[in-house]
Amino acid sequence: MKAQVFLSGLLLSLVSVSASAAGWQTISDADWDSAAVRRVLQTFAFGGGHISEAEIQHQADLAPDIAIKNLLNFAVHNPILSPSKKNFSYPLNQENLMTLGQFLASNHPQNPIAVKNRKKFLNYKNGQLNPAWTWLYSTLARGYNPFRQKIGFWETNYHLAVNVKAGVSGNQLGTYYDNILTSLADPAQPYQFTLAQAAGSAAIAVQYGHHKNVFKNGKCECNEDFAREYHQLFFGILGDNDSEYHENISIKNTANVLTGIKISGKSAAINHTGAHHYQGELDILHQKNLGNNSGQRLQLLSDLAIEHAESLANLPVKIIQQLADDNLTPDKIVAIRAEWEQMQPKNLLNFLQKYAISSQFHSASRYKYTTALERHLRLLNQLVLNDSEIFYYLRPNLFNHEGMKLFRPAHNVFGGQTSEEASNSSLIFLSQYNLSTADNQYFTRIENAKWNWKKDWSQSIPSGLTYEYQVDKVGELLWQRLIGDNLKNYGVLERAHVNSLLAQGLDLMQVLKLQTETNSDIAQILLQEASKQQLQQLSATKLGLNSANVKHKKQANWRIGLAISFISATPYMFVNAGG
Amino acid sequence: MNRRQFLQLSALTGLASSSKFLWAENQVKSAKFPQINRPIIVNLMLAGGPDFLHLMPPAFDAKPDSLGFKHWQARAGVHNLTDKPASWQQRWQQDYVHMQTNTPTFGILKQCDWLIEMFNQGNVTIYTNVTAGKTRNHHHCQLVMELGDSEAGLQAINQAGWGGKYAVRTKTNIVSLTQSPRKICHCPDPNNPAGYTQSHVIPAANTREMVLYEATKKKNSHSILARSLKNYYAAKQVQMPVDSIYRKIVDTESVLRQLGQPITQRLAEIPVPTALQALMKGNKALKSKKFALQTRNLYDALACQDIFNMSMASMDYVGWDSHKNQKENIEPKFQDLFGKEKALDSLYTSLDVDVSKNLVWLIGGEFARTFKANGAQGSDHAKTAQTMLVINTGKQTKNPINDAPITINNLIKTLTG
Repeated sequence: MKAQVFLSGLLLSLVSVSASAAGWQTISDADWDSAAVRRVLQTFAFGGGHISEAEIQHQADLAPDIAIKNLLNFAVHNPILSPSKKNFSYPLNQENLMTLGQFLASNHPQNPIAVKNRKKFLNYKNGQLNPAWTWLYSTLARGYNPFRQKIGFWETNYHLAVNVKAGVSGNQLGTYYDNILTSLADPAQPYQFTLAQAAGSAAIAVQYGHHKNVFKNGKCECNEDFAREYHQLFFGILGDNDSEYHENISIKNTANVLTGIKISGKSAAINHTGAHHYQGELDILHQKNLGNNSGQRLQLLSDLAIEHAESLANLPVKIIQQLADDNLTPDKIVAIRAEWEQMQPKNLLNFLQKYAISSQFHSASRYKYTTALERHLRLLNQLVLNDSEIFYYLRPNLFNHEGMKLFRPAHNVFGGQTSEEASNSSLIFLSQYNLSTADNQYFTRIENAKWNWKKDWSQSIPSGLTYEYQVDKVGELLWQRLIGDNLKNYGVLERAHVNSLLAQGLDLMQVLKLQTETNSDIAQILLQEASKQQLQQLSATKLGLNSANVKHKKQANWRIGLAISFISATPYMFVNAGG
Repeated sequence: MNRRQFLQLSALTGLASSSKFLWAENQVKSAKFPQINRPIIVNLMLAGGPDFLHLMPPAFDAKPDSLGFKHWQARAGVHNLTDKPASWQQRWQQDYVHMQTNTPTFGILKQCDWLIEMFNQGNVTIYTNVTAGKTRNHHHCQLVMELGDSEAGLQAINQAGWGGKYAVRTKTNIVSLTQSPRKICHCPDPNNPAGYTQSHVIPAANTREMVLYEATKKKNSHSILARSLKNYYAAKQVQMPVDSIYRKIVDTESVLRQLGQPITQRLAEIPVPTALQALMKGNKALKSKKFALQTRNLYDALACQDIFNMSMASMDYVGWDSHKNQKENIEPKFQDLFGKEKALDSLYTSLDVDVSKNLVWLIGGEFARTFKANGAQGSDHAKTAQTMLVINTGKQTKNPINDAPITINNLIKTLTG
C-alpha cells in the first residue's frame, strides 16, 4: 500500500495552518475535458446519475467554474444530472425525503410506485418514514439530484451520523436529513449554522440521549457523549493542545449546554426551552457561552467552534478525505486547510465546488477506494434505464451483505463502512465477483414475462456516438460510464475481453481458441499478428441493438449484460482515481 | 499482499512447493481437525469501551467509608438503583456470584456463568491496571490497542498492528474473522515504515463463503464470465505493478483463488456443530449475529489450521459505549460472550480439548469508563487504567487478579514473547 498520511486529525503540529499558504489551483480550461467531468461525477454523484454523453461534453466545453455550478449544487431537481419529464409540481410535493416518502407511500393517482411496493417507504401503522428506501429511490429515480443525495447521505451516515438502530425514528431521521440539506442549500447560512441546527435536532438528541440531561440541585445529571462528539465529530476539535481543559471544562460545560431539551416519542419536533436548563455563563473553548436555552447556546458555540484552530486544521481535511481522497499528503493538506481558512463564511458547497475543479482533485496522486454502496450505486445508475426498473435491480441485501446498511452506520456515530475497510475486505470483492459470474443474470437478464419487462439498452447507448453500435465503441462507452477514467485503464487486455463478450458472447480464450484454462501470458499472445487480426474483426462487429430481428436484438442486449458483468468485477470498479 | 509476498507466505507456511498447493490434495480428505502445535492468540476487541466494573464489581460493604460502599454509591445509577444502600446490597446479593480469592471479594455478573467457571478453574487472569491510550477518544485509544503501543499518536494510523507484526515475526498468519480486517492485522511494509501491507493477513469474514465461482463445462453465461475473469486476473497478477493502487484488489482475487477451494472442501466435511448453529438463530441465538458468525469462523479456522497457519485470530464485538442505559445495553453483550451456551462456551463445547487448550484470549476495549455513573444510567469515558482479561484453558494462572501496573505494550509481550 502506498504511504498515507493520517487524514483527520493531529497534524496540527506537523503542518501549521497558515493564511498565507496557497490554496487550490483551478485546472485550466484545456484540462477541463469530458474526462474531468466524469471524474467529478464518479466521486460526487454516484457516477453522474443519468447524465447524457452529450451533456457531459457540453459541460466539458464550458469553463470549469461555470460547469461545476451546473453539476454540483443542492437543488432538489438537477435536470443536467438527471433529466426527467415527470411532474414534480405542487401538490405532488416531492421536495424532500419526508414528503417524497409520504408521496411514494400514498394512493395519489400520479404515484409511480406499484401498490405492493408502497409500504416500503412508510410504516402505515405509525406513520414513520423508511429513510433507506426513500433515499435509494431519490438517488436512482429520474429527476432528482444525485449530488444532493450523496452529500445528504455523507452528512447523516458519516460526518454527523445517526443510527436507526440507536432508536432514532424514521421521521426524526428524515427531518434531520432534510433540514441539513435545506440549510446547506441556503447560501445565506454558513456551514456552522447547519452544524448547529443538526446538533440541536431530535435525531441527535435521541441518538446520544442528552434529551434526558437536566441541571438540578446544582448538578448536571448528564451524559457526556454528545458533549464530546459535538467537538470531535462535528468540528474536529479533539482538545489536543490542552487536553485537561478540554476534558474537564469544555466537554463538561458542553454537557450543561445540552440540558433542558424535550422530545415527544418518535416525533421530529424538539423543544429547547424545557425545564432544568443550566442558567448562566459557561466556559467552553476558552470563551463565555451564554443563552437561555440549548438552541441559542449551540448556535453561539458553533460560531466559535468553526474558527477554532483544531477545527480549521481538521474539519476540512476530514471532509476531503471522507469524500474524495485516500492519499492525502502533507502538501495536499496544507492546501486544503489554506482554502478552508480563507473561506468566509464557511460554505460547504463552495468548498466542494472549488475542490472539484482543482488540480489537487484531478491529480494522478488522488484515489479513493469505493465503499459497497458507492460501487453498487454507480452500477445501478447505469443499469436502471428508467424508473420502472428500479425495483427490478434493487435487492434488499445488495449492500447489507457487504457490510453496508443505510442509515445504520457500521461504526454508529463514527460512520459507515470506510473506503479502507472496503478495499481490505475479501467479502466485498467476492460478492461482486460472484454477482458477475454465478449470479450474472442480474446483469444479463433481458426479459421477464411476469413483469412484462424487456431490457433495451438502445434507450441508453447512442447509436451515433457508437457508430451504430460498433463493438469497440460500445465497449469504450460502457467502460467510461462505469469506470470513468478516460479509458486510461482500458488496455489491450480489457478491450480484448470486453470485445469478445460483446462481439461473440464468448470469453476471450474461446474466441482465440486457446486450450489452456488460464494463461497469464495472454498479453503476449494478444500482440501476435493473428490475434491482432482477430481482435480487429471483433472490434468492428456491430451489435444488433436496433435490429428489427427480435433474436438479434435480444442477443445484443444479453451481450451488453455480459460486458457490464465483466467490467464491474475488474479492479478498476473498486477505486475512483484522479487523472 | 502482492504476488511475491503471497508466494513467500505460501513457502513459509508450507502450503506450496510450486505454483500448486499440494496440501490441498493431501490433507483435505481428512475430516479431522489438524493438529495444533502452537498457542493461538485470539484478540477480541470490545469496541466502545466496555465497563468491566459492571461485570466484576467489588463486594458491597455496609460501612460508609469502605470501598465496597463507595463503589456501589457512585455506581448505583448504572445499575438503575435508588440511592438506598439496601438496593445496592440486594443487587450485589442477587445478581452477582461472589468470587473468593486472596484479594478483596468481588463478583461476576451471574449470567456470565462460563466465565465464572473458567475463573474458578484458574484459567482467567484479570489485569486490572492496564495503561494504554492517554486520551478519551475512541479512535485514538483503539489505535493504541491495535498497534500495541501506548505512546502511539493518531498520525500512526497507517502503521502495522501488533498482530500483523507478530505474524510476520513468527512466519505465520493472522486470520481476520471480522467483516474487514482491523488495524491490528496490518503487517509491516518493508518498503515503507509509515505504511502497511496485508502480507500475512487472511481475511475470513465468512469462512464458508470464500470461494470464487468457477466455470463448468456448460456453455452458459456463468461459465463464460467465470473463464473470462479468471483469465483476466491471472494476467493482471503478472501485469499489475506492486505499488499500484489496484494491486490489493488483484491480490485479494489471488488469495481467494488459492485458498477458497481447499477451505471449502475441508469445511464441506466438517458440519457446523449444533452448539454453534444455535448461536445464529433460535432462542439461544446471540444478540449479535455478527459475533455468532465470528465465533463459527474461529471454529472453522481451527479446522483449517494446516491451511491457515494461524498464530493469531482477530475478532471484535462492538457497541460498548454505554453512556446511557448501561445495564440494558451491556449485560446482554456480556452474556453473549460469557454466558452458558453462549459464544465462548459453545465454542469450547464444540472443540476437542486438544484444540481449545491452545487458545489464548486477550479481551478488552479501548479505555475504562468513569467510576461515577452519569445522569443517564450510564458511564462516560475515563482516562484511568483499564481492565483486560486473558483466558487460557491450557494453562492455570498463578495470579488470577493481577493489579500490578502494566502497559498494553508489556501485556502483549507476555503473550507474544
